[in-house]
Amino acid sequence: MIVVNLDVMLAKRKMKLKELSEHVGVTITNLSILKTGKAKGIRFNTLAAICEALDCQPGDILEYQKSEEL
Amino acid sequence: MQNKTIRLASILGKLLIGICCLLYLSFLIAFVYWHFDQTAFQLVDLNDAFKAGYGVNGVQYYQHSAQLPSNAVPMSELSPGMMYWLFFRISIFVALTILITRSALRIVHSIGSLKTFYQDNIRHLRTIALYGFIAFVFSTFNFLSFEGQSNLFLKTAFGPLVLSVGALVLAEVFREGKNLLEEQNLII
Repeated sequence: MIVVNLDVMLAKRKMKLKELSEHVGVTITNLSILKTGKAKGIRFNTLAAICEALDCQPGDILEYQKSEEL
Repeated sequence: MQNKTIRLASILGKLLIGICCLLYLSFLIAFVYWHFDQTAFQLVDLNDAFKAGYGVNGVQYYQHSAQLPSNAVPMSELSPGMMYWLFFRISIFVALTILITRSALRIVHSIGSLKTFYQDNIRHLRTIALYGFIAFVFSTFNFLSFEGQSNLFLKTAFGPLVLSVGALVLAEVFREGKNLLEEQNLII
């Protein structure tokens, strides 16, 4: 599964969701959906804008974790 | 509303409701008047009105009593029970037609304001399906008790049944559309 580490990167950059929203041009609601992992997907241009605003790579925001088999 | 088709559908729906109301009002006046003067309706033949099918199949008015066919059912000679049954049946069909048209109009307005795949539309379509099924049940039978004879009429009315099934299929299509829309909104 894909885990979104947006909250980690925000904390590292000491940036608030509202500031990121203003930089990226995505609503706080949508960023919140992304941050909480409820999003079904992310567009390349949104990812690029977030990476630019946070000065990071896509890998810093998205992480693949192997699902634990029961 | 910008779309011409939607505007036309809206106008037609309102027109249909208007026609239904006018027809019902005219029948209501005749029904009330019948209580006071039954002889005034000697030349009104209700033979077709007692046949099975959606709505009233026909009310015929003749200018002279000689024109009345041998199997005519003059309104003046109907028993109060049969008149009340006819009135009840007409009321049911008028109410169903208006309710179905109103639901369809709500869907049309919703599409016009670009809110197509919404829960309300799914609900309206399911309601139309229910009304269609009730109309189908009421259309299948009718009976007439006249001059000591009782007749039961049966007919399979496919129109309301097709409407009902079509509305159910559309409700499922709209539900799938709503799911896709929700998924689309979750792509940031």
